Amino acid sequence: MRVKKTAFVLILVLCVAFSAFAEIGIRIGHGTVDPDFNNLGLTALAGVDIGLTKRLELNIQVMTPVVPDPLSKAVAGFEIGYSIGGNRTADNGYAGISINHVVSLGLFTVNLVPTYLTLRVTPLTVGTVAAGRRENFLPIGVAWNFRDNSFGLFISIIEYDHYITGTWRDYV
Amino acid sequence: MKRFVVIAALLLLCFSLSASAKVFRFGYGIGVDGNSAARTEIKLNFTARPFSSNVMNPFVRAEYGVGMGRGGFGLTNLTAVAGVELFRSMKNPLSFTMANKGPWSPALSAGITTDFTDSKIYAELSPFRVLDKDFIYEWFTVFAFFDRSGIEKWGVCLLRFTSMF
Repeated sequence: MRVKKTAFVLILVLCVAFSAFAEIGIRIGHGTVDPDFNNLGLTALAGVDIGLTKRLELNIQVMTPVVPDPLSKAVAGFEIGYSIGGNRTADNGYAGISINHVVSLGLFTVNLVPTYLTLRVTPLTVGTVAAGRRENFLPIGVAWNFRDNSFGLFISIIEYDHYITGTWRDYV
Repeated sequence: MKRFVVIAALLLLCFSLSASAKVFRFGYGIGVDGNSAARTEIKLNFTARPFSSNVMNPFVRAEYGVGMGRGGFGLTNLTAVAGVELFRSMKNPLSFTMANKGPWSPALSAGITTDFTDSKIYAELSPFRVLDKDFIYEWFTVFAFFDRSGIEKWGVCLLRFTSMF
């Protein structure tokens, strides 16, 4: 039920985002924030990546175990990311920096209960909004569980962004 | 013995002439998967694709890496497989994930997986597999370990990315 609610909220946000922002992407990949996920097998991530400024982006994400107990837990939230290597987009259809690094601050809920504040560094992103795709390699971070005042480290292997708007396709 | 050496040399020569560098390709890559033992595993792979056929194109691959989850942190099984790309089709349902046009090429493979004390049969189906010029992307590959009593363990490889050179 909570997973359905989370999916509904995500779809709602997606609809608003499509009408309001120029750069929208879909994100899928390996997802971890909750240290419990380390004992739950493979966890996947799905979400949207929304460009706010040339350097700032908003990621809205849902993470859930895939194997062996699909959808047994849902972690959802958002991150504000800042590209520290340079502009992620440029004007008039020119691409931004294609090799970049992102620092993100996030708030995540566990089964829709706000639980984690996160600080994450993605050491390598390859691709641009203009190219239509970006791969985020080895994002690593620390999560503060402010409910029981504990900290945990998390690392993902890869997250893949596929951009729908703001790409070269808009200029042909 | 002399006859064997001559035949082997002729075979090697024929193979070298027929398999140009553009066809015979090695690759290396990384994948992340999870299995029914509640473990996530990150594996490096080495791949060889000796031919380039549009139907039943063969390949071999070896994988090894690290895992974490229930049971703690440790090394994974060493897995060696031989497989075939079932077909290559430019009607690619996953083309939206690619920068260049490339074929959809599902693959089926089987082999041996071992923890160096015990070995099991390994099989996998990779339905969402696409080929770029120098890369292979495989999404949601399903695999299983088989012992004498049937399926011992199963899992899903979220993404396997292989760079061919």
